[in-house]
Amino acid sequence: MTLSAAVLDAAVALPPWREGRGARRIAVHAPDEDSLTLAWQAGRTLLDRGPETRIAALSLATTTAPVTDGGNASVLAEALRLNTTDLLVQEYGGGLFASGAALAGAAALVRAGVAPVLVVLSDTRPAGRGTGALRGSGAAALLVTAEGPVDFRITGAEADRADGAHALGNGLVEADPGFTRWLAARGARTPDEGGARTVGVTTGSRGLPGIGHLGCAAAWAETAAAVAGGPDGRAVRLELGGGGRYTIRFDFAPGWRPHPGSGGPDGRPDAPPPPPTPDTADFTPYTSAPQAWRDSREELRLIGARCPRCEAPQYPAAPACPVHGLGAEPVPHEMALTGRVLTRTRDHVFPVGGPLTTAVVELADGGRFYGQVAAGHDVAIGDAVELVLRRIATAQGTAPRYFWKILPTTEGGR
Amino acid sequence: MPLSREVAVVGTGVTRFGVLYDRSYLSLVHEAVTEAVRDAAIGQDRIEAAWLGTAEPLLGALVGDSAAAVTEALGFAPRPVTRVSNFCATGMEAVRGAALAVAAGEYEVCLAVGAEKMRDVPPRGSLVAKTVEQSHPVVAKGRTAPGQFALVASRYLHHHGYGREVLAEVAVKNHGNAANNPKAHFRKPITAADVLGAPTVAEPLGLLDCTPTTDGAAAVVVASRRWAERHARRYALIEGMALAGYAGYYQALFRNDNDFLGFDATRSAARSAYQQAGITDPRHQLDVVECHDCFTITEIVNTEDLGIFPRGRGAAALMAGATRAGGEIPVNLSGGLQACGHPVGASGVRMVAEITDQVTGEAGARQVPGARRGLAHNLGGPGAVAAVTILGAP
Repeated sequence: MTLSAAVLDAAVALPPWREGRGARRIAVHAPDEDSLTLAWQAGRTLLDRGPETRIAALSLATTTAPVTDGGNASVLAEALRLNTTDLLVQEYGGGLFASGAALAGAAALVRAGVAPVLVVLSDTRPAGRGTGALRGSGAAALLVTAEGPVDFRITGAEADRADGAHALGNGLVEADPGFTRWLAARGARTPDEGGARTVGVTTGSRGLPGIGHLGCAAAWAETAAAVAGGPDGRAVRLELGGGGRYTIRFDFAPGWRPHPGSGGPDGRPDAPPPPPTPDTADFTPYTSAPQAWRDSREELRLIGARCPRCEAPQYPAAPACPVHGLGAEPVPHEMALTGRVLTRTRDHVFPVGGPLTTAVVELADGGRFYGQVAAGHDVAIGDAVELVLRRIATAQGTAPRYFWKILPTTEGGR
Repeated sequence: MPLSREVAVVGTGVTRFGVLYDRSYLSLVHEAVTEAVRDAAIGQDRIEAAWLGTAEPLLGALVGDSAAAVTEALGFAPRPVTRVSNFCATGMEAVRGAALAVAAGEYEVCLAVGAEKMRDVPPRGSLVAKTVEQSHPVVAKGRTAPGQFALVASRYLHHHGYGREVLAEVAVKNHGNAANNPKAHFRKPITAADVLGAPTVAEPLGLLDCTPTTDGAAAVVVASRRWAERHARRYALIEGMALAGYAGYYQALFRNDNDFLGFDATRSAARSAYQQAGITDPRHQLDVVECHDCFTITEIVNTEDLGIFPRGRGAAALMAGATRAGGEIPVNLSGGLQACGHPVGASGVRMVAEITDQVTGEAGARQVPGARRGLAHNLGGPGAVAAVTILGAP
């Protein structure tokens, strides 16, 4: 099997938190982050960097899907504000090989004329689980098209023996392996064509120094690191393992350098992670499946309303303009995701994950946002901030809910 | 018929406010009404209809979910009973319902009673649970009552350049006032050091910047002016009464015209009530004020929103002593919500009772000498609604 396509652009997103020392130092995520929010961060970084592009398909590869029954990529599509009309959404999981499967799938789609494909590879692999293989949390997003500065070819793919089909090694498969799998028939591995640095991403491989093994995201994060690492890094042969095998050759156009991974928006990549959310067993917030279904699109896209007679939009959307009442017909409006802090408090009463910082933000479009500051961060009145996708605490056993939280912006952006 | 000067408060009754483990919701309603009826020097049979203000019946196993609780507490059947709820302005909304019915000419004598039994569950199971658990699963997560008012406190201190000591002064003043109120939850004077050293609740608010969680009930008998002139032992005329809305509970903190320096609903309600009462200079035309000091910052911005002091000068006037007992315009001589506590449905009724007592010369140790006209103000939600009642001696 040979499938080929190109990477137009790519981005890596890492949470700003680090844990462990020396060779065991890894990137870790905050309690309100998960593989979906990291995927959002990588995707948003990538989409913000290029010209506005209509995405034809979105593929999410992760072994740590927040909802093992799927639906994660659909949440991601809304939160990335993709045009979801005719958008093909796919999820890959079940093992590290899922990133290879997603790239193979994307190449096939591109060949079929479905392009560009946004491929997001994401995992959250905190330390301290399993028997000590390096773990880290991060995400990568790739824009896969027919032509681009990075050509890639899937030069080999095969299914592992069943007893090797572990997602993360040590028998720890955090996602239901019933996910979409795309494994080519067992076949001979293609020979090394030479001239390429080889990057091996498999269960138990070493990962990136100071960051760790990013799971599915390692496929791109380690490839990008290899090509950035030396003058001869024009081609990378990526050997993916972990439940299936993919061999992918990347050829980089001369002079092309991967975008440096984001090390956290507030410039403190060395901070320890915020403490984990304490046990929320006795937290039983209002939960309604119909309400979640009905409102999640507006919440995930942060759609408010703009009254044609008002200067600024309002969130949440109300059936009537608060100023002009029934005389005006507000229309849906995607709220700005940047702004400045109008006021702020740190609340010691909120019993879940507190003390909790909340703030009111004057958005760039004149609207307002009120909500939580992202875990581990703080803001002051007047600070420039952006809104980022984060998890909202829910009752145990209920599906995760995602909403926007406030993050201080520093020079250099996300 | 317009309400202004046509409806009177002819009797007041307030229970002790506090942690009343030994008292049931119904017994509190019974006590407050019994006192109000006795004060009005009428028989309970004279009351034609009742309005009940209770904001959170879920705190008391649904007692108070309907005004049928009044029916039960008073043996009031089959007379009409109506329960109202309008966030923390629920109490004054009950008074308003009764007053409007009298103004409409449907009844001559009505009852408004507000009651809340908040301590039958632990404080964390009461309003904290409401804001934290029962509220919107996404848009509201992170909200608590102090957290919402702290946003105003932060903005106010930042914008006008004040320090936390102005907040502390509200608590010190009101706790001191409550020493003269035998029905207050807290009656012990406190110092600024106590307030500033108390545990943080929501920055910059500490524990003593916040109203406690309290049980209590209050009742007033309202009657037509005509009836009051003929039968009342004493009465205060409602010179102005207004309720204003600003935004829904969730929307209020997102509204792009919310300056977080005060509450638009209060400004609107005050404007309307002043117009009814013919007040153009509240600072000099009012003798005494009870306002909604659920948090210390709230009193400061209330005094500005009510037009008593210019915007940004409420804290300076407070520090200069203008709102102390014996000051230019005393505010919350009862101890306010800070020291009386805030049994939600009862507070607005208690305020109307307090100002009625003041302008009829029956406020006891708290009496402002010669008070002829006063204002009661009740705020609901994070500025979602506000009610203002102006009462005057006939």
